[in-house]
Amino acid sequence: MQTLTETIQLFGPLTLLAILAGTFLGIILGALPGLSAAMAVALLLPLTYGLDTIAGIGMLLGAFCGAIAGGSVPAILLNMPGTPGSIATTFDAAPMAANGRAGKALGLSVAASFLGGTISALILMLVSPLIASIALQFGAAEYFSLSILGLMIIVSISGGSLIKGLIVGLIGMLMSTVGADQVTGAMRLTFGQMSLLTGISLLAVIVGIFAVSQLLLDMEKMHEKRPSMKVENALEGAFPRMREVLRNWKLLLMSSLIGTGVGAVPGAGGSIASIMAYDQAKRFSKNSKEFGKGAPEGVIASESSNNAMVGGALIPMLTLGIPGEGATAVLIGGLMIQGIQPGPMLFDTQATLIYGIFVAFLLANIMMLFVQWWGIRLFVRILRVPQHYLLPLIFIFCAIGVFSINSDYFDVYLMMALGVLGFFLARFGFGVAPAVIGLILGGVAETNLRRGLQTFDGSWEPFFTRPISVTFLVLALVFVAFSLRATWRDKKANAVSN
Amino acid sequence: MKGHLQEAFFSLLLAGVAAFLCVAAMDIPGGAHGSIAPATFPSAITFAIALLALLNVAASLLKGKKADTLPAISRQGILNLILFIVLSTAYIWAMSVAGFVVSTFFYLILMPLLICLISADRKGLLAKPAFWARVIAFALIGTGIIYGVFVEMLKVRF
Repeated sequence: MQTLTETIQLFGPLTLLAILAGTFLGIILGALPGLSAAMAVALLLPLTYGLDTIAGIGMLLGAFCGAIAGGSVPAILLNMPGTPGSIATTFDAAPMAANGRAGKALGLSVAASFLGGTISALILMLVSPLIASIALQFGAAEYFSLSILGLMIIVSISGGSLIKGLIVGLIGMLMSTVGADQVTGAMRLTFGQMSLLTGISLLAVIVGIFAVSQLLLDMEKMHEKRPSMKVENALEGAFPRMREVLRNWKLLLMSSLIGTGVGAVPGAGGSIASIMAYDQAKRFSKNSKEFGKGAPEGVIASESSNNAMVGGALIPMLTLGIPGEGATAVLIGGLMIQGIQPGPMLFDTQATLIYGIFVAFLLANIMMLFVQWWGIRLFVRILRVPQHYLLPLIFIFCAIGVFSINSDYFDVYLMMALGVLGFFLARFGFGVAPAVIGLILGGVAETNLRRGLQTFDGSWEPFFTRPISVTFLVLALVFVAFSLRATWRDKKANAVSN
Repeated sequence: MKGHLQEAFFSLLLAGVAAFLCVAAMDIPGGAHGSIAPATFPSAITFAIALLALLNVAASLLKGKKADTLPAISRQGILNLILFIVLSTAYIWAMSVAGFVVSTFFYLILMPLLICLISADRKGLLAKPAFWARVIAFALIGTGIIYGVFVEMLKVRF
């Protein structure tokens, strides 16, 4: 009861305003094709520095939910997913828009996003404390093995090539080692640079890798002619189609469960969630022949699952401190900037904060519904903002945001350099998300390896003999083996088709 | 240069940088103190990156023999990138020298102009006086809003 009262007290007007602002800006950023949810959260991260913890994390959660939901706007109106999670939305929403039913598609998407997100929030509230109570029994060996498992899952699922994924993950881990060593105080890879004494700025890495690299990707193709974008104006009936979505409650529930489950697997992400949910919806639907031609069920399945993915992704983040994908890695960064290390201990020591995060996530979903409802015409207009205004504005936001944390221009130059690195990594198919995840998990892995070795008198044996630890390590190997097998199969299939 | 060759070159560069960092990491002082030395983790990681990057050089060269699926970065693309990086880096430098307001105002004028200059769809805009008025208005309003958010609201000091 006391925790409940304390949790309610966290939600003053400023906190509610922060969640609302995060949701609003998240929808705008998500509606811009090419900007991912991780980038939306990364761009808002500097704004949270001056806020208290729950207002800051609430703003980021709002941005995460909003960006995923906002991705449906260009998916419906331009047949172009705003975020990867909206890929499956285009399958049916774009034909609906082409037939003059854009308003209905937007209405369905708003309602399905809200309901999917709310279901996943409820699952998050039920499941997280259980997982956290199990994780409380983990020691250093288990945490080391878990961080290796997390990294291996992300590396093997997120990219096409295991080698490339490993390289990017290791680059992230390497960045976690820069600065004064926590045990001996020895300077590691600082090259005499005072700004690196306390380590690489997490925000510079996040913004550089996710946001600046995307700006560079856009800039590379700037000279090419683009197909003219015709934004569908027929927005009649663009109000949340709650009754119609609820009529398909079985589909909604199945898609939300798939979204939450996929989201909880590190590395899987919204695109996999929405495509899996869409596939299952098509399989079980009586109107399966209508799928791909403008079936409302397709929009409901895709949009409810991609927003349910958000709640799923928060489960490993909050309970184990393991980021599921890019946006949750940025959220962990947001918590770390506030001096909070996510993990099972939080459930024990800062229960009020955890419940506050649950409530903030639920509120973000509710606000997302109303913001999208009232602002749908504005978000459609966002698609018309020319890129030559948008690009410099986003860059300035990145630069000043990174500068604002430590008031150090070195961080801004570092962001630029990491943006260039991120560009080449993305451009040559390495992917960028494992770098940020590696940066977070690298610190966890090294700290616990060293702590474990000190506890076990320098012996490595417990890492391979303690049941949970060895299970995690075996699972890591299994993921690597599966990834290698999938690569080998692809090669074989390509050879046959050639 | 074809896409797979560019990828191989990038991987080679990555391997070189990792090898350099590996040598630097091995020089990190400090003993193991019952655990692992401060040099162990960064050395192992950089060694692994160098090794994997070399493997990727070989993989991209072998892949290239069969099919060049990776589109290469064109010369114009590289020029676009260089222009963006130079102008944006100059903006960061100008911010530390001339302050936030002046540098941001000029960046918000110069960057849209640069984008229009290199973009095939937007080149025609430069001949229209209304476009120039719009760019200047955008720079003024943009600078004002960013100033309001970061300097007045968030109390960032430049």
